[in-house]
Amino acid sequence: MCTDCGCDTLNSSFFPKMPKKENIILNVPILKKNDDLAHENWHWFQNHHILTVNLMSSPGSGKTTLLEATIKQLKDTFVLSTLVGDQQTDNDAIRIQNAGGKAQQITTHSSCHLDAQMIKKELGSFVTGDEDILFIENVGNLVCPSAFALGEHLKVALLSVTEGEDKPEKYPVLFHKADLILITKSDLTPYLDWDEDKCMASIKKVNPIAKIIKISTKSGEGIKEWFEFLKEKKCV
Amino acid sequence: MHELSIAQNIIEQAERYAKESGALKVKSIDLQIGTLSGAVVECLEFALPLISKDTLLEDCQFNFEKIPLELKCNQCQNITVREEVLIQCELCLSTDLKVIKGQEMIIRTMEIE
Repeated sequence: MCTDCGCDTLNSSFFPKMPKKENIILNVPILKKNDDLAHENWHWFQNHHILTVNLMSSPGSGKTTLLEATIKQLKDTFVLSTLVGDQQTDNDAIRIQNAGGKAQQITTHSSCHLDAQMIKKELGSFVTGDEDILFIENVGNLVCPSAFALGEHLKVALLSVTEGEDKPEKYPVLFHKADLILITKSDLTPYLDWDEDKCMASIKKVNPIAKIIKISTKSGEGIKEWFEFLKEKKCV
Repeated sequence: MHELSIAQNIIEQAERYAKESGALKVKSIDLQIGTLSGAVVECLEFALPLISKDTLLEDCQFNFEKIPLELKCNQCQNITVREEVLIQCELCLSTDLKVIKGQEMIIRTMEIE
């Protein structure tokens, strides 16, 4: 007997067989693949005692200039390496090499951010494992890099005084996630209407606990504090 | 436009789980996107139908739940819920807060057949 309607016809075609629907509960992070790779990277850095610093900012805020100054000053104290992300050219890697640093360019082409896979490829090859500090200069962008973990220990956001005071509020996720916020090009403030109190208030709205350093590679303001920050974190 | 990368991750993961379950099609998928996730729902809504062509998620219905920022005040224990990123207790104005919700970027469930 037909189990659907009770008629005598077995395999009745009266009721067409409907596709079976099923609900699957997943509860998985969308970026699980990247998160897992970032986790592997983090363990690799831990096992090799490498402090990894991810530098993020808009293009032209002074990431490479800061790294040039940092490498010149700290290369005799620490073994340093830098991974530099840009959509095109190896200009920044060359600048860092000319400053006496070891640098590898990662060209992301159409991608607007670095991801954990791009970093993983460099571990054990360009990043040998003998480094004390690895700098990762992310693609210049205040939005996209914030969504992708790389396995870094510290996120550092740079904000130049020429960008205005309210960028932290306009791009809150990246500044919220930063452990340290560097206000760069501070030597230019006499020539601008930049308001320090407004800028600090904008930062505090999205990240009340971040350490903030005003810094200039030209005047030297804040440089010592930045180095102390790195040394302290390296010791931890 | 990092939402394209995020959208690709959604399609890849959903297809993998669907294939593991022997499904021929993903009918619908429920996603949670938090205020602090760094992803914009409207961009994902634009990107997902485009890149799901010729996959098990073609014609899939993408359902989004926006998760607002939820902050617990460490001073007065009040819970503040916000649509925008502002880390301040709405009651005592303290900035000593813990983020409880709003960082989600999650595939919750999907309906397969």
